Amino acid sequence: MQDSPSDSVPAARKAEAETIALAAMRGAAMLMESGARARVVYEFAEIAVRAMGGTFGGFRLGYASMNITVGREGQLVSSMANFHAPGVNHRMSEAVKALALAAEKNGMDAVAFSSGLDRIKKETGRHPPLCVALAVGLACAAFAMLLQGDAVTFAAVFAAATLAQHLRHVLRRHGMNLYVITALVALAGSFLGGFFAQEAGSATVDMALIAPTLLLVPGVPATNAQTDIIDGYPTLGSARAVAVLMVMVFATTGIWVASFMLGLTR
Amino acid sequence: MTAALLDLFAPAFFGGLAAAGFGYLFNFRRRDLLWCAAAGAFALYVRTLGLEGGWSLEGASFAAALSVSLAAGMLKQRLGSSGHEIALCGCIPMVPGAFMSKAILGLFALTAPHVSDADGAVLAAMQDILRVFFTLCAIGTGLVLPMHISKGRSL
Repeated sequence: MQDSPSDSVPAARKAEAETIALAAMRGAAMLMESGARARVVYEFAEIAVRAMGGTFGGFRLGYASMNITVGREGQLVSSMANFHAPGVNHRMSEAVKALALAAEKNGMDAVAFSSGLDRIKKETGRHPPLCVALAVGLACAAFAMLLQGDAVTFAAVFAAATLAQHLRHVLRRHGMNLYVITALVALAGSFLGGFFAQEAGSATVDMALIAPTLLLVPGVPATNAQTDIIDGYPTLGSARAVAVLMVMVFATTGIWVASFMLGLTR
Repeated sequence: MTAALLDLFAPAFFGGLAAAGFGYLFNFRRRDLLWCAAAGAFALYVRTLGLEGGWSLEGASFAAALSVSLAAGMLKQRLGSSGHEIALCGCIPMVPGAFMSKAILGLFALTAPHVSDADGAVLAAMQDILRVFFTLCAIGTGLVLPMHISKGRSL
């Protein structure tokens, strides 16, 4: 039996609402995976839905999943999506926010919005991994100096953290679990930092043991956790805080094993 | 005199270097990396001033985060929507990751079969944990306060 035209209009509106919901959730997921705060993602979802011609019904954001309700001429649709655990990618986050603001200003249908997201995903580059490893090595070495390390420790931490960041990049490409990567990278960075510092006669070997693992400290999620709670999203904030704590436990396990291997812990 | 100046500016220099390095990891554009470095240097300069003035680490970290966030708000025209992220990146060198590791290592030590001076070890670990908790709270609050007072859009 064929649908009558009066039946097909609500169905078409529902399909449109669903397309809008999916496009808005894709953008919101990209923002979350780029390290955005909950408040930014909520604002994004509302702006994107309205810009695409939908009615914003509601939005719920979790640590790795979200729900959205979108209306289109009286027809409501609720959808859910999962996304990867949050990371940090500032350029991606800025591009997605700019797309939402452009859509709000000029209006954009869901198909054009989705194409914009595809373009962002394809065109947003990252810095070369080797340069990232060197920059992270330098950052950790600077941390060592802030923690009262000496010049030998600076050099040892720079070398160890650079190698540790490179290892992290390789393990991530293999799709390994985040917490396992954290423990392995902490072990490698800490062991190398302590070993280089010991061999070079550093007076602050304990700093050389800890500083190369500071690249693993989830500083952005830690501050986002608190910001989210202050902004009125305590569930997501608490989930982020627990994830931060677990990362630190795994990183410290790596440090502990490294210090045992170097004979600094009995 | 020279040593005193060095004590004040060395943390700012290394704070700027650390913030720029982490900005690179967080995939900031090259032109924003200088702002990240400036934010990190400013944050560490304010924190060092506070510590030199006898403030606690938590108080000095709060003042530093608040100052960086206010400065980012004042430079909003120039920094655009990246202002908050740049301020956050500038505060990363103040995140007490080393204290956190020390605190957890201290707790690990308590699980050894024979713990000498268990009371002292518990107290040291607890002090480190509280220091991490309150310092993180201070940084987060300092960063977020100006945004809530200005009531602008986050996007």
